[in-house]
Amino acid sequence: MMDHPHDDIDALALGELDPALAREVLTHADACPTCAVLVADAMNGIAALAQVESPMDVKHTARAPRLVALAGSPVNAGFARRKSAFQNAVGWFAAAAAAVSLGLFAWNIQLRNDALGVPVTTLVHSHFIHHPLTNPKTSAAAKVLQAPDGRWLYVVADGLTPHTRYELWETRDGRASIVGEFSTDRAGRGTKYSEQAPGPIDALAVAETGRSPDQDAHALRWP
Amino acid sequence: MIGPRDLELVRRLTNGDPTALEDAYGAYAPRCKAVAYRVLRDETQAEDAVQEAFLALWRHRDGLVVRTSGIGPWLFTVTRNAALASLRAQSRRSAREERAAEMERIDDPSEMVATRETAQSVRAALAGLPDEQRAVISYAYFGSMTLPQISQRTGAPLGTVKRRAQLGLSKLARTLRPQLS
Repeated sequence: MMDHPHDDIDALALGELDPALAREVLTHADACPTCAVLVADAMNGIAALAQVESPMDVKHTARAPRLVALAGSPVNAGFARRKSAFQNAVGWFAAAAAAVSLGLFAWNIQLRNDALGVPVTTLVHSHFIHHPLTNPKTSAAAKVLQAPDGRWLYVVADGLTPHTRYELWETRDGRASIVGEFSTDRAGRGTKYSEQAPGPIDALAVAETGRSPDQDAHALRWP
Repeated sequence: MIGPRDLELVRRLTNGDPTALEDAYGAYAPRCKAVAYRVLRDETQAEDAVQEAFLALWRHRDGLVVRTSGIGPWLFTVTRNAALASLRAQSRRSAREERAAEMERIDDPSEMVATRETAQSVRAALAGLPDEQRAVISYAYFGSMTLPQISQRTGAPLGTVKRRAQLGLSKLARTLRPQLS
């Protein structure tokens, strides 16, 4: 599996990558919870922009049935009659590939789950809220995903000081406390998953270990 | 957050139900085609891009990204990517430059779609972005410019442009999440 392609994720969403690299990034993200969340976030931004495109009158020509043929299972006799031998072959191939990929998918999920210590189900069910943490004094940024009821938090930070320990702070009912600690890699990236008691979160911050967000001029904050 | 319709479609796709692909086509093909047409300005080529995106959806239906983003956002993005790849393959650089020049004459890109109801929400969301993020998103999405081209045009470092694109897309997604669901 390729390294986390963080730098390519927005280029992927904006359609700048050549098709081969785009497939590679997407395939990686399909098996990597961290990148899947980042890609999905960028795709949601594209989807927002797509709302300005006026839907056209798409006629259901013979093209739509071709999708069914490629899915490997004719659901309509009329569609089946129109299928070519080539489409049949591709259909069987797609079905076989799907069976293999199902197995690989299950294996990958377990692998990533063990590696990151993140319950994948919390991510793939998409029941989470995003918070961007920024600081105008620095180009570093972090994103915190949280359960709607605040039961878990997952921070993904980028652009921080390499090989440095940071703490994730949260504020509840006016009281700030440390939720977890993480170390950055040589590229200044770091992640941390934490669980806690449910409850509303009013603010979040990432600051260097040993300093409160108020003491760290480069602390990343939300809101 | 994925809406209930998408959750059900994802479940059926994951189970290998090809009729789910048809249902997804019925639900999303018109807007996908509009997205592709905007890039290609050619109906047949736009249809090809849509076909490519739906076939890719079938190949990636088990992946985490579809489950996390929802089918619509995934399809819109992949359709647009396919359209842009097609455009690049044809080496229609002059068309892109024309659009970029057109982009410069438009203060607010969402003016191009003033009649649609949701354009109002998008316009508000775009207006809510910091100027530099709005510029990057506008050049990239509406002007089909690459991030390096935007860096060159705006004079901002490429890393900064990437960061602005990321923050802008993320904020748009968050602001317009109710409509997307």
